[in-house]
Amino acid sequence: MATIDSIVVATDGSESVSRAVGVALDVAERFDAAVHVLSVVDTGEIDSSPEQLRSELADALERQAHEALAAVDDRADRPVTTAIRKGRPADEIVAYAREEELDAVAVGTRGRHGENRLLVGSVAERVVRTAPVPVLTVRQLDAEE
Amino acid sequence: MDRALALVESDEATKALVREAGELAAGVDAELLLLHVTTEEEFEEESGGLAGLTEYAESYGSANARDGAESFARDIGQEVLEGIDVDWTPIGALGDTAEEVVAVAEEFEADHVFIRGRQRSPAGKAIFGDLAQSVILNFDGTVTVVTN
Repeated sequence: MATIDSIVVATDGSESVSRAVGVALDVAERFDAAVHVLSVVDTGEIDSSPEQLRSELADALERQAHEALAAVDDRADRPVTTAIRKGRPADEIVAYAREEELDAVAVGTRGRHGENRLLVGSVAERVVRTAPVPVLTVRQLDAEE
Repeated sequence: MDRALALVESDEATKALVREAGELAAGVDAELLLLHVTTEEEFEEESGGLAGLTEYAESYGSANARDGAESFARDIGQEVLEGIDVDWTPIGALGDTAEEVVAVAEEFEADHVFIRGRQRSPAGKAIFGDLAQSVILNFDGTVTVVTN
């Protein structure tokens, strides 16, 4: 019987994942599932920056990841397992779900308006394509909707 | 999840998605809508292009296509959801698949849509279906993409 005993929600702390976090917490509540919250430090972003800025950027991204995890922890009514990975975000999210043998992944996608209205978001798209388990995608609604 | 919609497609692999959606909906006492969409192309093919001949034939033909799609969804539901304690309803639609998924989900106030992601193109290249992409971009609720 398919059920969701565990779910991981990926967060970069941005506005576009806040609704996905809400959905993941709601699903966890309904299925009484364990919640994992993962934040990935995008090493590609670090590698593509000027060398003299890299260590500073790495520190900033890591701090951001910790803050993103703390924000979800604050929001959750249940205990959450938090993790930080370094690498390519989509690959790390899928690898995490696989290694921890989780039942579902939740990701946020960009809104349909604005400059990226035709894009789902490359991280969400890659996770959907490669995840071994169901992926819950949640579109961030625009403020006017 | 209070009311979920699962897209029933015309191939064997659709059954895994319907089962998954059924079991998850049963787990949280949600209702499940099973939607099958007959595309305009399939409809044209089936009706041999005669459907558009007169207004009468047009309306008669498209009502038939919707009924046919609904009974396809019902057949799949009966086969796959047997033994799963979920309240489900078959629905048939005619038109563009992605548009109908979003329109029907909104009409029936579904808060969750289940669709299948396609992992490989015939050439073996990983692709992300336009269908999944379009539904994700246009539906306000949660879209769960199951790839298998």
